[in-house]
Amino acid sequence: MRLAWIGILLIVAFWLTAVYIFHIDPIILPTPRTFGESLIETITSITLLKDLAATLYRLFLGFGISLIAVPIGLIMGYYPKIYNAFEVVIDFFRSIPSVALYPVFIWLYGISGSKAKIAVVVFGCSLIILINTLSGVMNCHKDRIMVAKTMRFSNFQIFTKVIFLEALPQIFVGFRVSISLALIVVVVTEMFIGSTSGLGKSIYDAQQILHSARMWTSILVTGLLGYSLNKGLMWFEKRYIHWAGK
Amino acid sequence: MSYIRISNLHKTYFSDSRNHNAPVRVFDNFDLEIDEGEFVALFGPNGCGKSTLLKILAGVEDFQEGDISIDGKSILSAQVGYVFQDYKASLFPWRTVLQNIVAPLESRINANDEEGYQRFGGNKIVDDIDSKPLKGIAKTSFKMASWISCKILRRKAKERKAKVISFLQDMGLSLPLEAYPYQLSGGQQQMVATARALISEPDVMLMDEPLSSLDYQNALLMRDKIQQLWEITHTTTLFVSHNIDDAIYLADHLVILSDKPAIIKDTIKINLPRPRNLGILKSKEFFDLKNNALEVFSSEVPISEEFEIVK
Repeated sequence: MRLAWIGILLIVAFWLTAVYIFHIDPIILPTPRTFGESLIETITSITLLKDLAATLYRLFLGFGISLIAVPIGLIMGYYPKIYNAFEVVIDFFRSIPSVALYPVFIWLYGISGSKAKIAVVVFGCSLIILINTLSGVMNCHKDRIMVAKTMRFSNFQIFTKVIFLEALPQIFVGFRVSISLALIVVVVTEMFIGSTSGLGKSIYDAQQILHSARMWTSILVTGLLGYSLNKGLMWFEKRYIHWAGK
Repeated sequence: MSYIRISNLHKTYFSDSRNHNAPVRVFDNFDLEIDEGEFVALFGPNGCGKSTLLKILAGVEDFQEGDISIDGKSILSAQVGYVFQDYKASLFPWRTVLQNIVAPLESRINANDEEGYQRFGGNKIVDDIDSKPLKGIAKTSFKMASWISCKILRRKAKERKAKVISFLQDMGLSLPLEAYPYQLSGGQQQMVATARALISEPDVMLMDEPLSSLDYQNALLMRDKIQQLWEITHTTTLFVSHNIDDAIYLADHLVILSDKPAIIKDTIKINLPRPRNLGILKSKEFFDLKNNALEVFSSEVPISEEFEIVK
């Protein structure tokens, strides 16, 4: 852990060098003083909280709705025939970058507010979760299913006590990937002109008025959000799926 | 009347990936009889069908023709304990040691109730998951809805747990009950797998090369443990091994199989006194038995190559 400070200090040193020795344009990179001022200003302001709340709301609602893909994936993984019917369709749609569909949802829901943004998140995340859930079920160790059969488990018991648990690590891989994607998608969609709130909007607005300190502050907050989301998921996995991959 | 009777067994793999997807005849009119309480070792060349035979007896592999009875019951009605070679792939990693061993007791099917087994959708011996759990889900959710009090569930769980603990005491096994399999050594994991197989008081124990994945020391310890457990329970056991020493050390009878389609080349009776210890490996009787077995075995498959050193 102490070694980690070396990396952090190097970044700060890089920043100071860029500002004071190379005299980088303050629009691109603010001085530590202006950054610090802006940081204090935004932390004590309501707008940041509002923006953060809006982004979180879209993120979690979108991700939450996408969880419907888990039972669908479980069923599809268990019945290969159903999967075969939809395989090409799923593969095609998941290859479309979610933001590419934002204009469609703007037509449906309008650009202000959250609905369109949530829709994009749901589109992207549900497909990722679906594919990972499918994969988890289909790649279940056949040996373990055989063991369960020798123990004379019913088919339902085999599914709930073996297959589902065996698939869980892969399902969580899907969660990890999709939560990162959700954050990206929400922030990007908030950068469109017409957005009324959100971290993406605050970054874009700051950029428009050439206020780099405020922009970097918002970027920092966004980064911290992503970092804590990942850490949170990792903690959850360590607590409940500690046995994975062993 | 033999305890386990296999007669006229025919088994063909229709597209064996190990044989360019051509059909492979594993058993052709195969017969085998085993008496109650016996420890029988199965020995034979690789791929001759030893594992397939165990899977057929366990009810997880189907066969084209044949008459198989275990203690007068059909395969699916009998209770089996199965120990795999790969303990990592057979234990449930998300369960503790205790929860792993308790697992067979959670089966809602009374093994002696074949109708009950069929009711739960187990009417086909298939090794792919192509059955219908939805019917089971509907029936089970109805049953669960009528199980209003979860006190019943909790009480049963406690009973099962107590049964495991007393079982382990009776067997003289001391295992870290709250540990997870990945925290245990290979020998301990295989011990858990064996305990799990024995807890349901099976009609037959099927052991598929349980010692092959263990290091030498653990294999020796496990071998003695298997003997000890058998002395206590006298469960009829079928022990597949590719190690002739282990096979002779443990067994009452050594069945030597030919290459597929497998037939019994010989059944050697092992008259060594019990309980057996490492000293027996030095005895003349052991030596003779081993030579006898190797002679039969080498008449079936090559086991050495003569070569000349050219200077």
